[in-house]
Amino acid sequence: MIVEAFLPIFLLLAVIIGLILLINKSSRFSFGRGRAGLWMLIGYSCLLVVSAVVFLALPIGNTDLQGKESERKEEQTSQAFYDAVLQGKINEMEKWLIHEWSFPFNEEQLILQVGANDVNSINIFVEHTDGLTDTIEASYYQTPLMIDGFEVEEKYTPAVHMDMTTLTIYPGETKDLKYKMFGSEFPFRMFNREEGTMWMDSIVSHWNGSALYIRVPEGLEVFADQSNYTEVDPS
Amino acid sequence: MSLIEVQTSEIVKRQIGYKWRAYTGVFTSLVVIQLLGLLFSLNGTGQMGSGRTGYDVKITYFTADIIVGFTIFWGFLTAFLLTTKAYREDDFAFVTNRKTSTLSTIAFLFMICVIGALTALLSSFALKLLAYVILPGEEMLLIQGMGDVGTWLQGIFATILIVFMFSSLGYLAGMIIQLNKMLVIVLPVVVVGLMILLSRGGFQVEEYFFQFIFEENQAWLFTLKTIAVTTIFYALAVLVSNRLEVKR
Amino acid sequence: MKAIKCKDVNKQFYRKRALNDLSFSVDENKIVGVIGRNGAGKTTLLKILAGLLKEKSGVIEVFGRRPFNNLFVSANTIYIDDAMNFPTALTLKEILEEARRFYHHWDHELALRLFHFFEFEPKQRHNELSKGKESTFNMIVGLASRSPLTIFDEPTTGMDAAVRKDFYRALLKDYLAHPRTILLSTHHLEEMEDLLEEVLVIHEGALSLHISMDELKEYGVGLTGKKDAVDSFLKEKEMLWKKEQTFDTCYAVIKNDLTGDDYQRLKESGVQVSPVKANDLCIYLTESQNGKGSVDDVFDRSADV
Repeated sequence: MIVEAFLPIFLLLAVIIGLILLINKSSRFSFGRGRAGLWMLIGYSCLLVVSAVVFLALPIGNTDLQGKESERKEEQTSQAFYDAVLQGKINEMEKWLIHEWSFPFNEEQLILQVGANDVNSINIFVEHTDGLTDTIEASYYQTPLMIDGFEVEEKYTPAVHMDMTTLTIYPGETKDLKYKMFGSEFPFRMFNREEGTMWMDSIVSHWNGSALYIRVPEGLEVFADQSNYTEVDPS
Repeated sequence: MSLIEVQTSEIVKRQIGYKWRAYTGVFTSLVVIQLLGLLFSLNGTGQMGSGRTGYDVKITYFTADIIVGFTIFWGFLTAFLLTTKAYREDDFAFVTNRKTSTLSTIAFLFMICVIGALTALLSSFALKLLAYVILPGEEMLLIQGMGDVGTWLQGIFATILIVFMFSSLGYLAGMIIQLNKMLVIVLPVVVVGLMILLSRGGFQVEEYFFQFIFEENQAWLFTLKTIAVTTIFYALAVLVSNRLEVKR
Repeated sequence: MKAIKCKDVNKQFYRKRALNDLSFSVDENKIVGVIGRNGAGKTTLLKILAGLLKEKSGVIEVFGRRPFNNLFVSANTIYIDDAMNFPTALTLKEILEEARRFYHHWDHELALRLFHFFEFEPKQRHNELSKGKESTFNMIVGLASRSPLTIFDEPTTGMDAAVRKDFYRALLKDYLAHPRTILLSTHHLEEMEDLLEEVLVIHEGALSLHISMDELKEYGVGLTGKKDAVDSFLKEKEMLWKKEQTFDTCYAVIKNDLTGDDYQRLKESGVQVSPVKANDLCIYLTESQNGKGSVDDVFDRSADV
């Protein structure tokens, strides 16, 4: 509750104010004498207005807080994404392509090695296609990561290496994103609660889809832990 | 000397001016308390971490919530202090009666609550500007939906109402305590004790109160509720103050 | 019209009785002194008249209205005492400006002239003044307000003799130019004899005397002589006060209604007749009934032991 959260602060405040009152000779809270209070207020207000103008002029990204609605949209997007991936519809996935690797390969079997990842695993999909010979193509697709409808520009790519007959996939470098989110105060949020603009209600979209899509020639044997990848058959 | 008939409205108007000039000290405490709030807020009012494939997202929120909270507290405290003897007697230095004195104090409190609410909301820009300029790091910045003018006006209005409502609470508490000095101790003990007792019985007064006020998402209902509560508190305070004599 | 009417006014603070069936009335445009010992109830009475305190019972009217919580009475009355509470944020000059806004009869010219005469600094603050200066400033506010009822409750507290004299002159001059009802409570009756028109003597919450100043000066007469001689005379007269002295003599104060015959008899029995000062008379009149005489007795008794 709000009360509990503010209680220690209020206690602290009470102490501070008490001290101020004690220090003050006349024990009234006019420790600035006479008009000092008014001038302080005027100066302070000017400062606030100036900072408001400056702040509003700053080029800062804006989230549009569509709340639940934008989340629904993102859910649909990721649904469409995984549908496309599972059905191997590469054309539809084209818009989400982040990075492509291509390796010449003429062995008979491929060992897929997936590096350990403590938190998030990479979704790996393998498709056998007759469109390729002596080549392995890996593509990383991802629907954009959204924070409150704000599209994150930074793109993550896993690290993919080919070494003899082994395709190694490491999680690569995680993108550490630190944001300062400038929210509006609680009286502003009070009346729009249903639309998902509640306190701390901003959402890092749960729904962003990502897939490392590996296409290998028809007939190539892939050795890997079955749980690490999903076989896709577009036909 | 000819006798003068005066209008209540005339005296109230003069007393508002008098209080405005005499109690400019309240602005000193307002500025100090808001700057203090600003300082506390620089640390961010909240944080959220979130992990996704390949991403580690950490969001620090900056809002002037603490400043608004402090301002609410300031409104409470200022109203409380204005009920103390020293201040009530300032009124009686010049022409007054209880009615004009109370009316002018409430009007004065309303004026300073409006100022407090406006500066509190404006200070959010100062806070964000400071957070933008001073705080180091590779962080990126985002503004959470600013909303349109309607939302803004609504929010400003709501803030004023909340601050004013808490000032009425402070005024009432102060007046009750003026009845007898022992109540300084008795009143909080009774109120807190009652709250604890009731919460044991499964009825949490403060929670109910905060739900009643702050979880109201219908703007007009909220307005109605806060104004009703404010009126009740002030009316009770007037009833109490009518039992007080002015002793110098 | 009477400026003030009181009938059977009572006031109590918890157990202590402050006013006891007090009844009197004051005509408009008089300067009235309110005399009494400490704790006699002067301040309580004056505060009730100013509307600051509420009477417990009885009828009290100022300009025909009950003063408590009355805006009309407040607008036409000013109450000045040595504990005036002015906002600390305001300078002296600003306090005068504020008073000017509230009182319709306010004479700002006069206020400023007095302000300069008594050498106040415009930037000074009320709570930084010395006791005497504070009283002087309050007095300026009281005078300049020109309220139809002006109440001074011990206005001279802390003032030195010179300032007190200036105050009396200022009060008299302003009163003559702008007559109004003025109530003054004081411990310096002898200094104010020429100023006051009427005197209210209050003793233990009750009115003991309400007469004009001129009458008060003649009210009592003092007799000094052999105890037997004075005593025999006292049987016929209304005794106000008596003190036994050494060598079997005593001093007695009686109401001054002596006839020529009486004077003759006093002379024959060797009793000296002397006038009694108004101030002394008031002290005698307000002597505690159950108490034992003067402070001397306290010391005499301890010497006996």
